[in-house]
Amino acid sequence: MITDEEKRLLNLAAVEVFGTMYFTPVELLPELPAQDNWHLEAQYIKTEIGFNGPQRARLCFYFPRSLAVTIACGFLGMGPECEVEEAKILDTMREAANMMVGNLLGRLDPEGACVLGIPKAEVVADFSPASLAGGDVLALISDFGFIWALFGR
Amino acid sequence: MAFNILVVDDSETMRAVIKKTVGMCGVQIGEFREAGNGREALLVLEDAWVDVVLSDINMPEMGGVEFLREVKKSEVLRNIPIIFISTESSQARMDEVRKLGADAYVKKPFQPEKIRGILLEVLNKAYASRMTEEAGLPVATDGGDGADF
Repeated sequence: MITDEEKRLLNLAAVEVFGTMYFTPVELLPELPAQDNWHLEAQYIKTEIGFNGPQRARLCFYFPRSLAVTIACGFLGMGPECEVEEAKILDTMREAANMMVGNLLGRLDPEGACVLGIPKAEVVADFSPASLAGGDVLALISDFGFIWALFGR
Repeated sequence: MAFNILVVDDSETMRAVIKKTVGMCGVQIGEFREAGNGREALLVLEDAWVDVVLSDINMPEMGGVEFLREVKKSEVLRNIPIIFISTESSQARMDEVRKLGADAYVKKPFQPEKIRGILLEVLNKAYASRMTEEAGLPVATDGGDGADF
């Protein structure tokens, strides 16, 4: 189960990465939003990355496609509604997850005893947070709806 | 005289962002080369002269630390400055790469100004005579843009 300290550090990591690299504010919510407010999109970009060692965790993030496209376009210096290749959207979100979890790990493990894994990304359709299992479900609020996360060991 | 630059990162978009950032540094860029991991970077270095490498650490096949070790083993390559730009931000990891001979370390996420400052600092240190030959070239200062180690 994720600890309050891990939640606090994950929030700091997310705020720093999204604020600095993508100029997009995000914030980890203390509680999950009510289902009426989920407003799910047709597609999400799922990323997965873990770390191993004295501490271990595996995090999956589910980014709304609209957020992923906007971030990818901005990151590549294109317009806000540019036509960006699918591979570049996946690459951008893989890197976002890499930075978030790497940043979290730097805070959790300043001695560097843990090893960060290689991130993966894929498009998922018909996603529902209700289907997430095997860890703690978390939600971050953004201007493009909720980013969902699953924190497992 | 233009500088040849190699960016090593498994993220194509991150390489594009670094390339754009480097392009805004005011340094004259000659060849701009890219590699997706340390192994590919070594192949690039076998084929072409590079003046400075900007590398990630966490990459598949061959990560940045192993790449650095290989570069330092080579009589030909060992003096090429290497700047790490990585999400791995523990002090222990930064100490490790500094001991192995890395020239600077920038944590991701980064502000473009930070890359600019550190690149100029490293180029000034490694190629002082070439840098002063270029009229109007910006010179790095200690204005808070220093490396993370």
